[in-house]
Amino acid sequence: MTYVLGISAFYHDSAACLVRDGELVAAAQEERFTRKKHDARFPRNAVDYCLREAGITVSHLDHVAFYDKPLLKFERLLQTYLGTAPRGLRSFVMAMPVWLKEKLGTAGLIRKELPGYRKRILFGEHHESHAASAFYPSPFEEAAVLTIDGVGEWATTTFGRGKGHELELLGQIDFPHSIGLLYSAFTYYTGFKVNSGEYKVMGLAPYGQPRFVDAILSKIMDLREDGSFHLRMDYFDYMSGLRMTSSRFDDVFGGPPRTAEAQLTQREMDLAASVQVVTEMAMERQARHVKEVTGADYLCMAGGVALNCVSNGKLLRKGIFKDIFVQPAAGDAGGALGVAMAVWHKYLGKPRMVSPDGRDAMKGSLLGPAPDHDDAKRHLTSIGAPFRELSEEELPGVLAELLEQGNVIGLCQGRMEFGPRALGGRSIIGDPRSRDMQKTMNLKIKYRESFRPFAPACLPEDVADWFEHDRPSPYMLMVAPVLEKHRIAMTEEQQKLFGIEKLNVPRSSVPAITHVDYSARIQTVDERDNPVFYRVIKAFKERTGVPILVNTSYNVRGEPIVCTAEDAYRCFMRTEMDYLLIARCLIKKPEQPKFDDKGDWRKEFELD
Amino acid sequence: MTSPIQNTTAPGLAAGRPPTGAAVLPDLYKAHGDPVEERARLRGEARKLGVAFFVFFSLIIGGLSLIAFNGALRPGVVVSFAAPAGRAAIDVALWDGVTDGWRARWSDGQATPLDALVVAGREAAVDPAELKGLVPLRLQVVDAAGRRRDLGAAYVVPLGAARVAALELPDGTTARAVPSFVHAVRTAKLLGVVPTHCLMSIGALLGLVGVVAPALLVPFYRFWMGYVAAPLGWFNTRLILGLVFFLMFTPMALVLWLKRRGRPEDDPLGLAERPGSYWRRRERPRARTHFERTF
Repeated sequence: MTYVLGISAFYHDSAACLVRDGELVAAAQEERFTRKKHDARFPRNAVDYCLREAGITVSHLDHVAFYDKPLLKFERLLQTYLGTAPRGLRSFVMAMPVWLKEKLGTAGLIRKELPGYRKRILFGEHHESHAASAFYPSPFEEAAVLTIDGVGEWATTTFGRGKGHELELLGQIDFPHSIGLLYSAFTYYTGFKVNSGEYKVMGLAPYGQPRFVDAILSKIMDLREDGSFHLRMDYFDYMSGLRMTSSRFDDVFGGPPRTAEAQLTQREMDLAASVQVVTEMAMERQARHVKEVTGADYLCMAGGVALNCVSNGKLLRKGIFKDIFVQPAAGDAGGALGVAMAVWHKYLGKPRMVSPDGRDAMKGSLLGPAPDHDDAKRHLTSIGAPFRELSEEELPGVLAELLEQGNVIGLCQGRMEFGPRALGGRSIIGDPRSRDMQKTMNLKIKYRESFRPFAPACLPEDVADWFEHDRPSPYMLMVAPVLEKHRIAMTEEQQKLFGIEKLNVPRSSVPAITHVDYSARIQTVDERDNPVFYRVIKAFKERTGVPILVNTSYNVRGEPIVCTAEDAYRCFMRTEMDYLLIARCLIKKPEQPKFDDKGDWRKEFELD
Repeated sequence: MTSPIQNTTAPGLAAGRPPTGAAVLPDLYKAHGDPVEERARLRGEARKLGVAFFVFFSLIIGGLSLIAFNGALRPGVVVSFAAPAGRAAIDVALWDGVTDGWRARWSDGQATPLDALVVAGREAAVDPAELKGLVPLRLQVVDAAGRRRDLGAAYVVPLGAARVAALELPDGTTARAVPSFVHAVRTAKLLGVVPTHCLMSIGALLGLVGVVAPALLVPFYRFWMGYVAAPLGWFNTRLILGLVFFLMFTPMALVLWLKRRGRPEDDPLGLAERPGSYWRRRERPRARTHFERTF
């Protein structure tokens, strides 16, 4: 057997992934173990876990691969400073120490962390790793590939073509021109945190009017018909400075950036809507160009921008490609998976088998550790937490009944998800029909901004009945509109409401998962990948006729998604969730002993 | 907590356990920030710091101060063992670098300028200009039976000054000059102010504690890293990188900018707009060996 360990680390979201003879055995993000969001340190715990999962040790590893090429990235940095000096001193002083002390010696750092591994350490190019993570696990024998993110070494956008086990990148756009950084610039400008607040910008977009699109396209960006583009660097500060945007940017969009946590105004919503529209335009043009060059029927996508599920959904509905596969860990964590797959297929030249039943090779992205029922029981007993043990047969019915009564339930069962979305392994679920569910979940459980929408977890056989979407979307990476028949039209009075005021108007018979623009971030739950979650939804449908549950990640704002039973219990006790399921142990909030928490836990997690 | 990285056996393989994820949970219960591991880490770091102090203060600073910094003091040679009336014996005569004259230093600690150098009743032909380099010396006496006896007094003479390597003493025995580390350590001063032996003792003490009982060094480690090392590092980083940026990068940037003027095609950062497509064609497929490079 051949084992390949892929590693992503030292920038943001470090992760490890283990591939055995081309099969994904395990993958996990370090933040889940260290409880530090976007932890960029070497993924020691994630590597430990992957090895344990396979029952091997470091000495069994045949190849270890890192997800990008540090020297190329360093060259890009130096070139940038040479292009901008004498500006850029502060950024230089911030960046250089880490590079000189650590990053230039990435191979040595990895070796130090993996004593016993004496073979070569391999390095994949950043966007090749993304492309590999998109194409190799995809269900397509032949497909085009499009990767879009902030920046890797030089490339920020690439496209190519994959066939069998061959994958070739054909074209690219280089730093500083980047859709990811453009989106990040608006994230910064609207007062959110770069590298994690992009999701909020996307969530905010439907509340606004895209009135700045012309300004973006005429002033700060040159977007060509073929999807290639050029950003005018006078408006940005990220090449030489510590900010994303420059004062000229402020002039175009009327004022300085919003300060973090300040009141959101219509202007921020309009900015969000505008950059979202521009992103969609760019992606659509790029997809058309890629189609033209490669002639492929299918498209695979990865890179941070491919997490923009609103754009993904629109792209799918344009019908440029028959189907689109998006790597669920499209961000840098997925680079670990990509480079491991690339080593197997490209470096070792091994053939690739596409599943004949049209399923991808991601195993539902459930690639992390699972709570063992007996261990969970022991743990709960040891901390004196009363629980009820459910049999496999009764579990779906019991949960469905609780959900129907309006309870919010935490799920910690089965293997943990790889990638940023919770897919039913570490999720908080609730009844989507409830009018207050979105607000309750946002403010009382997740302690986050009330505008942020929740996703529906839906039975795959019913998805077309509820949404303008006719196929599985197992990774919550496609947004589609709720079908007309389920919508509730707004009265004239309600139409006049602005921005966030619209939030309180129920938009459909499942308001908790319907965004103000009637869209929903769909997840279909596959029975083979996640049988427990599937059966719970099915039981809920039998009781209520609705094949949908609200599904949000099991964490509070700023916290990484929970990993272990212990994390789940702690988070459960800190919030206003009603029930918690760990493996098959059902825990009821009022029955729990007083939870002794150290200090003010709300300060434990930095706001994201 | 043992890490599987150090294990040599593969329990899961032996048990034929399917990859379900279940196997790992018990350990993950306590995987986050294990306090025992953290204490062990701190002790290890404290030990490293102690040893680093020993190496730096005892060996490097001590050595440098012995070799180089003492140059300003210019110790000389032994000249006479006859004491004038009312005085204790002369221990050492020194070349005083400040007054450019010979001084006798008496064993009661006082010093008097000397007019001439006298060795065993004769004027020594020692030219101060020849005193180059410094070797700490110790006086030994060879008696009639040929045994060496240590007189205990220490001297410093210039390297290669053969004429004072052996002194005939008034009682007929011969005093031989041999290098004396102890004397050098006792007299040398860093920058003429801080006694070298103090620094070397501090280094040796910290090194010893670090090796024997590193836990005792942990508070010192915290203090050092937080209040000394961090501010120093902060300042140094900015100073050095600032110099690099303004003395290397900025002139290079200027030269490149001058070279590029009027040549729009030379645009490594792609800052200029151009007609057509911004897509850049990738080079032909790369050899698989590119995985073996970091660039």
